[in-house]
Amino acid sequence: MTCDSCVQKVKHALSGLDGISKMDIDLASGTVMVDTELPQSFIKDKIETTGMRAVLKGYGQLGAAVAMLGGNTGFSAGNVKGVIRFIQEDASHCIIDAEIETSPSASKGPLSINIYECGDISNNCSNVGDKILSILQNFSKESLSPRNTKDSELLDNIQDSKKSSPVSHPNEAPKISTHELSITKSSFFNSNISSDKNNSDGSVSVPLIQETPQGLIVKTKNKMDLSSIIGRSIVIEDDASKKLACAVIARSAGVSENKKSICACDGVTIWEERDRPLAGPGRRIE
Amino acid sequence: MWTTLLPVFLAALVMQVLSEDIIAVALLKPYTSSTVSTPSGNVTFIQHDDGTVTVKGFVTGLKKNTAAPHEHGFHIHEKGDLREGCASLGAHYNPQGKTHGGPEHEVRHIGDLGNIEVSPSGVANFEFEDKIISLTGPYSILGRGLVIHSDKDDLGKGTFNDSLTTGHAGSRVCCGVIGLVSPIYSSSLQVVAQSSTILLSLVALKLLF
Repeated sequence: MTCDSCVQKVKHALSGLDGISKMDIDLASGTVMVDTELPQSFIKDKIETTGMRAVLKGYGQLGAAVAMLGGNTGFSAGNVKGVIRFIQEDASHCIIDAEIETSPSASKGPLSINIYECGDISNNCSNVGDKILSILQNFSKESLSPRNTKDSELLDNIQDSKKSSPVSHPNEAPKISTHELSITKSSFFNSNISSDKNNSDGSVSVPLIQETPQGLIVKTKNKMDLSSIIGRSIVIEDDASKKLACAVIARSAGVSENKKSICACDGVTIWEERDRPLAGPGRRIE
Repeated sequence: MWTTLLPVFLAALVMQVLSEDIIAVALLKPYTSSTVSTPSGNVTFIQHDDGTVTVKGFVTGLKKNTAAPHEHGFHIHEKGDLREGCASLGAHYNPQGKTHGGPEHEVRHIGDLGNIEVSPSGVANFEFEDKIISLTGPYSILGRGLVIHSDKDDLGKGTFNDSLTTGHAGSRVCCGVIGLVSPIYSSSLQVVAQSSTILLSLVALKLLF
């Protein structure tokens, strides 16, 4: 961002979104700080609709973690891939934001996300030890409908509030907007016992599941302390508990931690990084 | 690849693993789409009762140099974030804000593990001990990145701009996330635990006679 008109452009691009509760655009540092319920990829895409480019510098203040499943970074069976982000919201709650890619030919059965004891992903996820925590059980594209009465009511309430107030309403507006982001379907249903159902605002305690052209986006909040799962592994499983993809849960930058804009290793900036190979010839322009 | 490396990995562990040790492993890969660069391997960290950590590694496919063995910078980086491959692992792990140094130096980053020696055929098979890194406590290296660089780390003694920050060790040729291995639950390590019991009893017998 180079001038105030750019700031206005970004503000305009983000102001249409319902899931943003706070936004701070700083021209001097060229950063946009957003307090949001929405997945970061949507925010980034929205900012990039202005023609400017955006790089995610960090998120969460108490600590953040990320796991890259499948692809060339972790094990994957049947081309299941995923990026799962963790943000410690307070001492005992963690927001989990998962983007899962499945191949079009893959079975459409329900998936589960679980945390396993060991962060040893060698040998096709068979060395991860025992399951120690369940993040979300049995979700799928086909299950994009309410599972029980309580959740039906919740879904109805949210839809009602949308109908009655198409323009964002300060107190009652749902925190998650779907049509702004051109998502075909969305639904809410209960997660397993480890999710926090006592949260009175009910906003993130009920998982959000969205379908994307590549797969699914899942967002949930669980009772969890990030420090207890760092270095362990996260596994996506099918309904027969077959491990489809796994990765080590790794530390990532929190919002205020990543001040630098240059990779200390070789002087390549975070902006150039997107257009350069990650290593090898062409990485450094001598 | 891993199936062929596994016996080596197990054999290496057998000698060291005792019940109280805490173990972690990082599987190293280049994380690029390049087919030219294919270094890969694994590094195991074994933390003993006294806090000393044994670092053992076996990495193949590194730079070949038929003239002589050569060295590559070897560091723990702050993050384990592989979203942009090895590039998003952050800087050397340096929570105390110190100057870059060598593993034996008084002043060093926690993540400064110096260099590993690579054979003329591009294979590194190494083992050393470090008293600074830890798998537990506030400065735990679990979930952080482990990187092998393209060049030698000058341990802060060089005259380059980045000698005092990175040791001028060049780009990141392969990397991985340090993950916890529990001796109790990991299937591969159950084998190791049994083997070490056998090994210990043999030692005991030798003492008796």
